[in-house]
Amino acid sequence: MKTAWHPENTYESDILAPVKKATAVDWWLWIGLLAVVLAGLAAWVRQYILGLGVTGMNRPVYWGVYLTDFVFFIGLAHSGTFISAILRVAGQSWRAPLTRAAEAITLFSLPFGVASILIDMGRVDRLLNVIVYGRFQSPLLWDFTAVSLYLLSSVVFFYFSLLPDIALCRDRLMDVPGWKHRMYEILALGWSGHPEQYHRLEKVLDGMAVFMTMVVVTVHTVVSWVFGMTIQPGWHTALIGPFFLLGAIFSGTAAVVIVLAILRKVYHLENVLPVTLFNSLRKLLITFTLGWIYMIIAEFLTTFYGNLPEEMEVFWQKFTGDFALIFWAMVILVFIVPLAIFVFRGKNSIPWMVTASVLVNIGMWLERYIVIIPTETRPRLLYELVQGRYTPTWTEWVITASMFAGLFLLYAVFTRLFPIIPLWETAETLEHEMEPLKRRPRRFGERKASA
Amino acid sequence: MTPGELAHFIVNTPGIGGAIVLIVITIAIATYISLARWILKGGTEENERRPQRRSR
Repeated sequence: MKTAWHPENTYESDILAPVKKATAVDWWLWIGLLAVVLAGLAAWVRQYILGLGVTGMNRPVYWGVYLTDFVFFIGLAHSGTFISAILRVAGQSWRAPLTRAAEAITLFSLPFGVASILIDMGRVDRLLNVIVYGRFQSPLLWDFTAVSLYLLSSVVFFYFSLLPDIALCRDRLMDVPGWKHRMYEILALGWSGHPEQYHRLEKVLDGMAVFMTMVVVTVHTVVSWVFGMTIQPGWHTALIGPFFLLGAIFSGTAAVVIVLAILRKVYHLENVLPVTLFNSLRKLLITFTLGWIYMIIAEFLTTFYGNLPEEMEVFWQKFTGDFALIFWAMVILVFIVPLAIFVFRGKNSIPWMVTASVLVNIGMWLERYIVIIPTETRPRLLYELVQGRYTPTWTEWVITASMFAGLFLLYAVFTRLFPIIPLWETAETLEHEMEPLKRRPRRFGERKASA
Repeated sequence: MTPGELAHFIVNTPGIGGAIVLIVITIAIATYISLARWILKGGTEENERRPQRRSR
């Protein structure tokens, strides 16, 4: 079989090394994660049989940890689109080595965002009712549309950019098991590596990057409107869309730092993922941290000055009431400690960057919790009568843990099947020969001559 | 039916929202399949033989 042309990449053997063989440690890790996933599955089956009464949800707290997970996973999914699409549109070439690692977070966290909704529904068998009886006035249907389109587009965007590297695996990895080689052959779709294919691929990815940027803004805004379109205190604010979006990109970028650091260490990719990449992400994270506190101040100061009784009921719940501990923990974990680390310790220090990023993600999960739950315990119409309470049960925690385990499992398996650093995209930036790609004609006549 | 009534009908009638979702997703799938085919066709003999069509 004739092999395709592939651009040269000095680090090809380093990048392909993890793909060749899974170690015993991998298998133990996968088995451990699978056990947690199965435990969650068992808890969900039990919940399905017994009903949502096994959760802590009650009147008037109809949404709990599952909705928190939903918003968190969808937010996490923004990392890939941000690094890949938004930075691509902005012409930031340093993002090239990070793109696939970030896109994989998108690809594997989105299904768990969707799963969170299905789990929260209780009666998952009624899912089709959304289509059959769906009315477009409902923000839930907007959400369904946006998330479905985002999931589909993310898969396609990811797959397109993976195509040349799948073909490279097909052509170079001859000593892998037969099923794996067959998988590469099928997924490569006959990629020949012709310069025109690369040219078209880049064109499509550039176009899709603009589209994906619009979709990503739409998705998290629409997610926030599920809350914002109600007139509940704390939710009914025009700021909720941008606030959710910024939080999503913030936590997603922090997740990229964590993932990159793990990949760099475990797969010995120090040369491919230099510390300068982390420094670039550090600058972005400092910006997002400051943007986040700006949003918090803008939101709460406006509420405080308005002094509406039902709004203030929720406001004080967060600042000094039942949720004060979580609220202030969130401020410390998302803003105070990470900002200090990013500014004073983060430069040229991957361990500090990872520490801060882990704190940011824990804090951002708490943020979603603090946005959702306090409002439900003090609904607008009955806040003087209803003093709602919510304590998540073990069922909710086990299912939540299983979704995180599922995300890690899919990611870990993926890194053993496909190159986690895009070989063809990094080849462009590594000063190597890619003349067919560089000679991009402006007119069609010139293109024919160069090809 | 006035435009206002039509808009009201589209937004409020059960099922029409679901149909809109399906239409959006179907258009997206068709577009992505076309794009994939177009990328993979790049540099094939068929394209080389018909340069005049590409220049239009």
